[in-house]
Amino acid sequence: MRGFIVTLISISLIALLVIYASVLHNHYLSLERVLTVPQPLTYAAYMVDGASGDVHAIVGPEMALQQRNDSYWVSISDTLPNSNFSSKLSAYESFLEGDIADETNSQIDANFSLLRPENLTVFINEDYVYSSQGDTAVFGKAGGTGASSYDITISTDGVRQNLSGLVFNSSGDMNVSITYTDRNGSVAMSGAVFSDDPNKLVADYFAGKRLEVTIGQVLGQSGSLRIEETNVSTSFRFFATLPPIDETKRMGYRYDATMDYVQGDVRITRDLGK
Amino acid sequence: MRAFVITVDALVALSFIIIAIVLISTQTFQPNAPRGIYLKQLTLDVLTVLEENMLFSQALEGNSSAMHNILQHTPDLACMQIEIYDSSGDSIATISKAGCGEYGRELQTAVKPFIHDGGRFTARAKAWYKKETP
Repeated sequence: MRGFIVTLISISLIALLVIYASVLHNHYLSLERVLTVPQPLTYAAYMVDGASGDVHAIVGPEMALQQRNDSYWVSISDTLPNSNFSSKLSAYESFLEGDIADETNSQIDANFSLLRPENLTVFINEDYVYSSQGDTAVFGKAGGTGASSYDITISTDGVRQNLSGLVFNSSGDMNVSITYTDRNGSVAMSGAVFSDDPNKLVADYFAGKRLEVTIGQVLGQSGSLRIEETNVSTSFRFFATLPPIDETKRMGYRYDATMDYVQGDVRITRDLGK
Repeated sequence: MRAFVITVDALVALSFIIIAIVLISTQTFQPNAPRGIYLKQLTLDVLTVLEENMLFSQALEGNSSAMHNILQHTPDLACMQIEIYDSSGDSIATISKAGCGEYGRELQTAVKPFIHDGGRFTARAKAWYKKETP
């Protein structure tokens, strides 16, 4: 009887140790699962980010966004008319859905149908909108941009007939600096304008070509910028100083294009952008 | 005397149990996953850095020294090889980290599509841990 009790106690103690070791091992395994389970999601996000960068490289525009202590800077460089990227974009869409999907053992459904040279829209910080529509580019925001200054460099390949510059007013609330260049040479002008007036710079060229730059009130939005060309190749870069961004808004840009990436149990559908 | 022997016996038994518990608790569990995750993450990061800095494009233009330089600056134990393929699947360039031998126990791969001069290319990366020399 006594031997039986000693045996029972010994077995109980050994069982206790085995259970303890097993619990500890399971704990580590669950820790490992916590680390590994999100991995496919990370890879999916990486693929979508990569595609966003490639789409940006194809369609443009060149952009720089920077948050400062007391302001937010947006810089955009583009050309008018927009380069015809349709065939490149279409080929890239097929490349993603075909080769890359095969290579990554995933299903990719990219929808770039709303990215067209004649109508390209970029949403910035969920607030500002830059759109390029063939011969016109507009930067604005519903309710007004609140821009305190614009620094614009613009050049065309036209031969100028007439240039009607901006009319500045020292009591204006928005500083504007423009460096304008065409085949006749460069003109620099700077001063203040009212952000709720449609302040215009108009250049007329021979053969009916024309460039019109509107700064201020555009399509009912104050502090906006509109550049419109008529049959004259134009390249420009503008730098806008805007109010600090709303902290609840996501900093970055997105296109009106989505990508759906499915790999195993992981599915990610996102607007392309950064 | 008998009670003393029983007490000593109990203490010895208890000390065995305590030693066993301490041994079990202090066992360092080394799961494979974090090593693999680290290698994967490193591969993705390197591909992103190479693309963002246009180093794939440089390599396609015949200058792969900057790309080599990035690979050489990855951790000593990590080995990496990057191959660039064109849209028809032909290998255009292969860049490997110097001083790496054959694949080790862990092998991670990643793919990055990119655009160069209007053409579509794919960078395929393989990463593994260097075999430790005895």
